[in-house]
Amino acid sequence: MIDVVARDELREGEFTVVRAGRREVGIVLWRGEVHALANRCPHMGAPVCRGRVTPLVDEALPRAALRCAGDDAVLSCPWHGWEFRIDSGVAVADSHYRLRRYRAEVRDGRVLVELGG
Amino acid sequence: MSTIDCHVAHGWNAVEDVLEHLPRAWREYVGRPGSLPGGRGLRPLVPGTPFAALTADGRRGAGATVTDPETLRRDWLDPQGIDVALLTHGPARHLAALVNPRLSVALVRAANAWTQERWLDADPTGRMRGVILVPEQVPTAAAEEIRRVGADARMAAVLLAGTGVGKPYGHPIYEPIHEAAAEMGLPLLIWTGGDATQDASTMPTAGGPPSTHAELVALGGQALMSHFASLVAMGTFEAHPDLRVVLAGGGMLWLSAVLWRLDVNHLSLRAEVPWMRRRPSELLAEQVRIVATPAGEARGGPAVTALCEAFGELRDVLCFGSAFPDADASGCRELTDALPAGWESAVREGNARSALRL
Repeated sequence: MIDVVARDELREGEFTVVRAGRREVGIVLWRGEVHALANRCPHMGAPVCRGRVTPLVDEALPRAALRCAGDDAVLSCPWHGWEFRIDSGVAVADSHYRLRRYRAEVRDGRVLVELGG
Repeated sequence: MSTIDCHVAHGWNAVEDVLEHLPRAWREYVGRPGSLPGGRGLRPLVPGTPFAALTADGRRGAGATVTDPETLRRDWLDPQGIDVALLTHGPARHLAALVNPRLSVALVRAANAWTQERWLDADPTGRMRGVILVPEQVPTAAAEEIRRVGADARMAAVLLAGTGVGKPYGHPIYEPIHEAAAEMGLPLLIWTGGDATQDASTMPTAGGPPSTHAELVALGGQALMSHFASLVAMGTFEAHPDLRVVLAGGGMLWLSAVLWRLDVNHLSLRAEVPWMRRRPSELLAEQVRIVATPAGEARGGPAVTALCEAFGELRDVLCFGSAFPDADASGCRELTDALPAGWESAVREGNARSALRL
């Protein structure tokens, strides 16, 4: 596992982009857990973790208005707005697409990421 | 093989044929030709386009129309072997765009009654079907008209051609119309061109109004792009999964541009329009039809071939429309000869039959 960042440097709901080996990885603290996602959008390769974390929005009434769907949040890609669930990396609009996730754990105040194969 | 012709422009010999169906008060208001000195006395009723066909009296109007059922049968239905002909109006298509919305309500009702009496009642063979004109500027009145005239099983669609309120047809203002049409099992037949009339509150082309007929002919599909994108983005197809929409008057070559852009950007748009759940290409075969005419598409050559190869879904979308009695009206074979092999049955009959209420 690769040591990438101090746990204390993370802010809830904000991505910190780090380099792990030859890859860029977005680290985010969400609901007390640390998540690690590849900083590459499956759409067109954008640095997706530079995007915004926003509430998941759906429709309040059929086609009438938008509303925030509970406490869910998504990462919205800065290039074209593709949305990915933070806890799973799955694209909201089409579950066939997802961000690559890496195993992350906190050890002695440091965030470690396992890049895998 | 059966043939459904989705575009036969029927009209009147004299506008009085329609006016007799007006309530008396409105009939008095619109007047009578010859009731004033010099032959005057009738208010101008039918919005004309600045690019109309050559006429006998130089007045602006619309294209050619067939003016009696017997002529239609003798000159077109019988020789062409047409099993069902959709009567799609000539100038009356534009009544919904009249500047006076109250007059528009009265006139479309009269025109619907005229179609029922002069055409459908006079068709013992049952091959003719009407479309319901609606006063689009007053959507609640339009919904009422759909439910009223839609009770006549010989009405096969709701015609939207006037864009009287200056918004494309997916806009929420039209929801009473969507709902009524879906309830009655009637498709929306959206016809471009009504926005080219002098009364219309919209432009027929983006970027400004055309100055020549040449421009309008080339750009006729633009309004259909607007309406299609609007219906998709406003979730009309999702809200009414049984509703069919038939797009006419602009050929089919316009489709590729807007469909591609919507499909490619579909996943990016969710946060704004979460009700746009399916890619537009996925709903095409289920809920969308396009009327293609031999005069328009059969001469498209490589462009038509390329479009059909890129969008095989069109096989389940295209419907034949002759544009009779236009001078260049042609039979279905001239259209299907320009399309891929194996498409004829769907284009000649199947696609129209699955969309129209027949």
